[in-house]
Amino acid sequence: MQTITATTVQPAHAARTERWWRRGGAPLWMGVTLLCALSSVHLSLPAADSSENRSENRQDFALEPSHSSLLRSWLSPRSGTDYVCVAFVGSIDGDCAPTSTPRFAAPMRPIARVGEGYRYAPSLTGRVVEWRMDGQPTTLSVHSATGVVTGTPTQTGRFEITLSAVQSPDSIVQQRITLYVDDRTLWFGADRFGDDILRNALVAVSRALLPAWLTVCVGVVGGTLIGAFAGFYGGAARRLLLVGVSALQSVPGLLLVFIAASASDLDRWVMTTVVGLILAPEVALGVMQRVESFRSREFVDAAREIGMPDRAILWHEIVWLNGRDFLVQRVANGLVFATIMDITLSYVGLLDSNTLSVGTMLRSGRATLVGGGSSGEAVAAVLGILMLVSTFMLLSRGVRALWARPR
Amino acid sequence: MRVIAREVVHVVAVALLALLLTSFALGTLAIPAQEVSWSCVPLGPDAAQFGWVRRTMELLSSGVTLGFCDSPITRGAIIPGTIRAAGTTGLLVLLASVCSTLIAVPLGMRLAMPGSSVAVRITRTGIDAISSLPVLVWCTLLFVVLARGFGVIPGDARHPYLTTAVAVLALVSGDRLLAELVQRVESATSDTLSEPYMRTVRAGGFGVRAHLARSLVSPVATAVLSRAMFLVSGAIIVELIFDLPGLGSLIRQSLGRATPDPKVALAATMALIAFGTVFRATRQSVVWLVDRRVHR
Repeated sequence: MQTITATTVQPAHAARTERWWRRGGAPLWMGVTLLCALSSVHLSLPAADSSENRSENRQDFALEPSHSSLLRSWLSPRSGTDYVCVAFVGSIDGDCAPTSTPRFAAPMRPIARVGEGYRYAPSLTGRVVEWRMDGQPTTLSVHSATGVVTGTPTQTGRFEITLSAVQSPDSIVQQRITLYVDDRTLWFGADRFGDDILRNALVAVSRALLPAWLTVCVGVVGGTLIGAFAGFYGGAARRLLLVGVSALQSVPGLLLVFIAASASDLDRWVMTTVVGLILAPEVALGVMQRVESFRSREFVDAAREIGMPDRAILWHEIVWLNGRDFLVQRVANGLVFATIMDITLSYVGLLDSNTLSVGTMLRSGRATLVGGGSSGEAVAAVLGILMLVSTFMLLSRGVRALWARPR
Repeated sequence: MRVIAREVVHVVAVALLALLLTSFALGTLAIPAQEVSWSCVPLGPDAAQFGWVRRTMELLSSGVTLGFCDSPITRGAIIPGTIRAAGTTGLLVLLASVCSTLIAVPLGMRLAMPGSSVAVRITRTGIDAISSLPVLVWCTLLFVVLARGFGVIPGDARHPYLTTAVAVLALVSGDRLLAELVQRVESATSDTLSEPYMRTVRAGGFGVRAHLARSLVSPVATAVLSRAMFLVSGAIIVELIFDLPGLGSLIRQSLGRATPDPKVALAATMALIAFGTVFRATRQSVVWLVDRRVHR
């Protein structure tokens, strides 16, 4: 007796989806999802005023809003006009006016966690007779001889703390900070301004996207135009391109960007354009070689025979149908290059240091580590970079796999 | 001789062009008008009042005649200070190249041999993955690991060798040189092994390693020296993060807002151009020595 087995027939759209998935849909889907998620960070998270007003001059006794509006509104019902002096040095009457000496080597951390130990060991130039502290939570105390502040906060709140170092009856040096005692779960902790590091990292990564795309627009589009013409028509355009590439490649791109950043008075968009221009010769050279290798193929002759114009042959037949793989890869590499360049520039202080960026986070994380603090900020910044690089690579891989001819 | 003359002309032309470009870029800086230090220049201390054309010419003449002077950035004369900084950068690049070669050559050869183990293949995939992350990421990760795991802060003067070792590790991990070398060595080894004369060598019972080593000189030298300028860029980033006294910190200080000094920036640029020239000349010489047919 013959056994009849029923086979499952997939609907046409399910089969199409499966084929799409197998041919590169998975990385493309993941890349697009990551990109959309990163792009929408601005919309989903409230703006943080402290990130807009970060300044390296805090050590120079600037008066600034110290914490994110989110944290402040949660902890304090007052409006955003309260300013906190985060000066390392204060005068006897508590002003934040800059004075030359004496000064604290590092300020107190402005944020403490409920149930976690808090410790601050002040370092001050000059001899201190006695240390005092006012306005602190009841569970925090200061050692009158060493000045070390220790304790474990047990309740949330905001505390205006004044740490006084009595050097002589006529000289008292004060450090005043607002201490926020927080009980939220912050995966990567809080930075020295009390902001959520994870949130900062996401915002910083999303901000890196637009300059990267602008760089790619300048570098890849410009490079493709120049390379395609030079490769297809040859002659003077080709020679000019080769000389230009040789001259530009003789000076490291990083140095040119440094110089451009200084020349433009640290203008981010000028710098972004220059990064694109540095990217262009390499793209142009690659496109030129590719076009040259296809220019004398049979299909080009055939296209000419049937009356196809040169422009259509170059852009449609050669660049689009045979060079798009290369271009997509260049776009992905260009995005990574632009992002890293942007991060490096903000890391070395050649971009506006008041703006939150991955580079400033890295720098701040490094400073925190050197000071013996947490590694959360540096790790979050690195994870942000990894997320960006993975997004670009997944997008590139997915698009190329979808375009690849089935073998 | 014609080949050598052509190379020399090319190198000199490119170096002069790069010098001109840098002088122009530094001469048009927005900073000099107010704050820049124009010490030791024929135009005198009021050079900043002159236009960008005069400043460009000033820098260009300094560059051509090596008429540099003292600077607080180099803590003395600019040229010896720049040479010292270039030495640090060069050492980093050299160590990174040597480490990459020492790892890549045996691995690439093993990969090309028939029946290479799974572990070797996994190592290759690992190297590809490691190299896909930029130098900046590796520097930060290693910085975090050292600071948190071992309580050592890189850049600390008490641990100069450790700092250098970590910096080299970051450079080796973050640059594409290692992955590229593995690929080139594997491909060159496969090509050599498939040559007809290798069957004779094997049949005669002779070792193939000497033949393989000779065939690998050219691809390895080409890969390392072509990639060397990228290594220099990576070294600049490494120096900035690990506070090493190389060309990176020199450039940062000379272009920074605290102590801007275009002459130091120009001197550092010239050192970088010199690096490029040396790398190119070495690559051409090695290729020519190994296989003279290339230039015929």
